[in-house]
Amino acid sequence: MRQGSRFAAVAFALLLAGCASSGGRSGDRAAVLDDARAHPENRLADAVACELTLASRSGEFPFAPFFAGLLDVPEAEGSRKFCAALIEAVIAGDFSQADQNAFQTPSDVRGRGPVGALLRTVLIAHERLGAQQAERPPQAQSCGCGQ
Amino acid sequence: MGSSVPRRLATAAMLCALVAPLWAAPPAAAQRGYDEAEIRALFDGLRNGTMPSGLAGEECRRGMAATEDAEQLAQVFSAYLDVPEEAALGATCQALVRAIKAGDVSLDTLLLFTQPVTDSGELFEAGRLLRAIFFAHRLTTSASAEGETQP
Repeated sequence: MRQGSRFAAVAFALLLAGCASSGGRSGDRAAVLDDARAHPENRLADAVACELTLASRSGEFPFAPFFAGLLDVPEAEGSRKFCAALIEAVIAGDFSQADQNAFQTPSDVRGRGPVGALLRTVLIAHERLGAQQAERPPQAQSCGCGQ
Repeated sequence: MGSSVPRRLATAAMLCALVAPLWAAPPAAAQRGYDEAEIRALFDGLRNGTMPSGLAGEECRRGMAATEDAEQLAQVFSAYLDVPEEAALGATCQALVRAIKAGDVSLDTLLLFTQPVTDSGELFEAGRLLRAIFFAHRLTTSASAEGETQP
């Protein structure tokens, strides 16, 4: 169990890669987050691309249950809510290019801080999205796309 | 990202390593893992008021600090809770104690992490536990901030 945390950064880098890599439309590993950063209007498409990427990796590790617990949503919603929150964080500037790049650095060099920062950022972004949705009039909530 | 690390096991182990030391027993016990009876006694003591929060939090902090993962845990929770690294383990334990006392963390959830976390239900609970710690910490810091602004 102890050596598990040595893999913490790797695991979360992989987790991040679930959205940052495979790139949805472009195939570029960081394309989804880069695209959201450059084109906030693509929020929904990028969130879906992120979710599809996670789904394609579901055989490797069940990320959805962990994020469902963290974000307090049903287990089936874990990946979707995580992706919506991550894209929100990127667009809001809370998950910067530098934050993203940190996961390219070996964990022995950069430490484990980025793992905790990512969890915090996603959790805060998710809460913000929830608050925004609660403020919308009912007719504007029918889709729920990307959240 | 073509790592050969067995991702499922690595991540499950990582989650366990992140969570399990949160309710660490004294160093000797920490070496062998987390004893169910000790966790149960501390949990019950907190819930029924026989275990002072400060004592439980300090015991938790010392237990975490005694693990070989202490530095990594401090790094993770420093960023997660937005506190200085040297205060991270203490803040995490204070938040955990508060969450337990508030009934936001169950004994069953804590006991899950006496063993490696592997199935989806346990991962869900791991996420819930980290969430509870986050919000318990936020309540603590909010209360502190309000106290500082009182005339």
